[in-house]
Amino acid sequence: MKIEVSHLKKYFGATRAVDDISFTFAAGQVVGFVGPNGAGKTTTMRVLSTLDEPTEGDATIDGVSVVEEPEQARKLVGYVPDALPGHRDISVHDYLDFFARAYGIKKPKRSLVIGGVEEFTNLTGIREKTLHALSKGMKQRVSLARALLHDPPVLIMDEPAAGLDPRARVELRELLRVLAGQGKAILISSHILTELAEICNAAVIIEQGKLLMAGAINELISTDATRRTVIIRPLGSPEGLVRDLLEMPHVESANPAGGEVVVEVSGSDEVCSDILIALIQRGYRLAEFKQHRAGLEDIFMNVTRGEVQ
Amino acid sequence: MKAEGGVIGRLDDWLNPIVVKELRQAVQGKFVSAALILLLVVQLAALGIYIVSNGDFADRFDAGRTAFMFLLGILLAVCLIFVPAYTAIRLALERDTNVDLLFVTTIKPSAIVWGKMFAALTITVMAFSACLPFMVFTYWLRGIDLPSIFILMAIAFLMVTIAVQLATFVACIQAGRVLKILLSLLVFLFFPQAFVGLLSWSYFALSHGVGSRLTTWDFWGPASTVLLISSAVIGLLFSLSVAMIKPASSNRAFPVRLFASSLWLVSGIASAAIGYFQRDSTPLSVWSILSVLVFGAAFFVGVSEREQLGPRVTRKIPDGALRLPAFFLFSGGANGVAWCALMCLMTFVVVQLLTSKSTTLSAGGSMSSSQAWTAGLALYAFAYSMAALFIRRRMLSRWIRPRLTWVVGFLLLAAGSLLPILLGYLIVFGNFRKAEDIGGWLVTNPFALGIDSYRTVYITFAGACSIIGALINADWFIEQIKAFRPHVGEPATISLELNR
Repeated sequence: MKIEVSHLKKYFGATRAVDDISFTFAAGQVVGFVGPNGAGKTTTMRVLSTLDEPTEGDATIDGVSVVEEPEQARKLVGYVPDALPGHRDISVHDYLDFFARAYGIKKPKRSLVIGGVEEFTNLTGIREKTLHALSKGMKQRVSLARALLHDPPVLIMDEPAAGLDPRARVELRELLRVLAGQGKAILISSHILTELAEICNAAVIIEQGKLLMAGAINELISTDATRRTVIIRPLGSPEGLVRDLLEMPHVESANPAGGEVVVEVSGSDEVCSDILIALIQRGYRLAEFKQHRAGLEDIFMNVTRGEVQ
Repeated sequence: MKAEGGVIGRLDDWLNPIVVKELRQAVQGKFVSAALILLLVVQLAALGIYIVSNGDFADRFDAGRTAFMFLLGILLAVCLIFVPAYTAIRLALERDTNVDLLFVTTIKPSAIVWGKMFAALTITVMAFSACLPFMVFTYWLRGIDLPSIFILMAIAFLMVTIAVQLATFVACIQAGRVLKILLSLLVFLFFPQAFVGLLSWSYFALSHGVGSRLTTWDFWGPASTVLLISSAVIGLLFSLSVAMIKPASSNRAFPVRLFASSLWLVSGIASAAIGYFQRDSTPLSVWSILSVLVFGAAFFVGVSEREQLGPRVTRKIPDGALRLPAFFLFSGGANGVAWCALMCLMTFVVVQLLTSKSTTLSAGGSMSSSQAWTAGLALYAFAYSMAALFIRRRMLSRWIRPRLTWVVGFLLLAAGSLLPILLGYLIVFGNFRKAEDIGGWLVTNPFALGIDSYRTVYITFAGACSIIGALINADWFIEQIKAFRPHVGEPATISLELNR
């Protein structure tokens, strides 16, 4: 199972919401779809879910074009939009029953499927409640349950963690881990990058409709590893240490912060190791020497400029 | 478990999901229940007030009829406005937002439209059933018979069905919110007219006695004609609604054109047969003008269709002799225009042939006048749609997408119909004059074909404009005709089938 987005463009009048984006991901991968507001994430996801048609380009899911064969593509995709279900007059169970019918799941199987999905998303206890009476977290679970009814191999989730409390977020993360473990390909957008970094093994970063970076998280971090931040806590006054550090090659800056020194280093892990050896050789007694590893958040801040169209 | 898998389970599977959901929501919600209870209360109050205020019915023989008209008015006011609006707004919201996500599921577009229609009609049936006892009660007030009550209610139900289908069609149109609201307002102007028209006709029918004519052709002739025309309108709107919500990459014009062509053929045969037996050319005249009105409007749809066909459509293009008829029926801008032109031409030629061969069919009416209307309307529609196409392609392509060419066309039509005469009034003649005196100022107005003395001028003008329109868009036609060839390559569905 491979999802291939190829030269996708979507224009709204003069606005280029998505401008020639290409990337691929496969079964079992959880891909973070990252970008500032208005970057084109939702538009791309709506095209992948067959809700919108691209101006140009295409996306294929297991070889099925979302443009040319949307009816077939819909069988392969589960879409969780950023808008939550908010009907006033329908219970959770009836809502899921409607979508199960809409996906053509027949009677003996339908009850089992709905029951299974309710259990998986922990909705069994509230299945008779009406949708509008649910909390945001619970509505998000209903949305996920709906997307899972036809057991799609691909899940597209637009800001599923937005507005959720910490507990609901942790629970959602666990659900996603299980789903990824089942071999589903998941494309997920979120503004909470630390959350994404924990569950994603790949990321796609876009801004102003253009693709900035795409690849496995580790690859992205190593691509972005020309600079390191090292935090040193000496067992004495940091003043002499700062002076010595600034004289060393590759050290761009060294700033005392409380009892610590924050050092910006241009170079690889080897350079950091050389600095540590040099400091010990000069007789400094260090309580702590740690490298702050770049995360998705750092990469995002480095590659994007926060511009919107 | 046995019951689930048995007959009941199978019946349950056949139910349209939209119907199940809509009715569950209607039952669980308060809105529909409240509206029905309110309707009942209003009917009860209206009947009560009427009886109390009129006191003695001993010497009145039309009390039942008057009371029935009151109650029918209340029922129609609710069903002609509330039910279509309720259905259309819900569908439009589902189409525009993520509320229901119907369009992510594998449910078929026809099932969506049918489900919405069926659910709306079920609510209508509930409203009619709630009112039926009060309306039947008017029989005891005298002046109305039971068959008349049921026949008028059946006709009212038919009108509500058309209104619901029309509202559903508007909700399915792919357009921006502003344009959609404007279209909705335009369509909803039809409902008060339908309301007044139906009530007036009902009163007329009751005054002339509907029930007493049940065994005569006087009743069944018009009744079956109304039923057939209503069915045709509902069918056409249904097929258009389904086409609107089908994926743009699909061959969505094909079923609509097939349906419209079949309808044209069947209604043409029926009109010719009725005209032949009644020795009157009117049915054929009406058929030809109505046909050209429909196909004339379809010109504007045709120029708004996609200009490049995707592999999904080209894979279905037949090779050999079937390629030519397929060209007229398949999706595509040039295909749409060619189909409309062919249908208009065939309408004109068929009527000309039939009336020239049969004196029976040309008797009674002014066939030459209706043929002039037919030709004139078709030429004007073609010329305006071609002008819109040219302007959109050559001048507005950066701002207006092909699918909105029809808006340019209608704006041109409105401008052509109104501006010259307004300018003439303001600048040249300065006061109102007879249409015959200022006929030259109406040359761009297709609705002025009724002015006999200028008709030849108008048709010649529309014909000249049509030729110019065809020439300036010739590259557009030629490009699409050349591109209309079967797709070469592996069918894209094979890999999918293997993976299933």
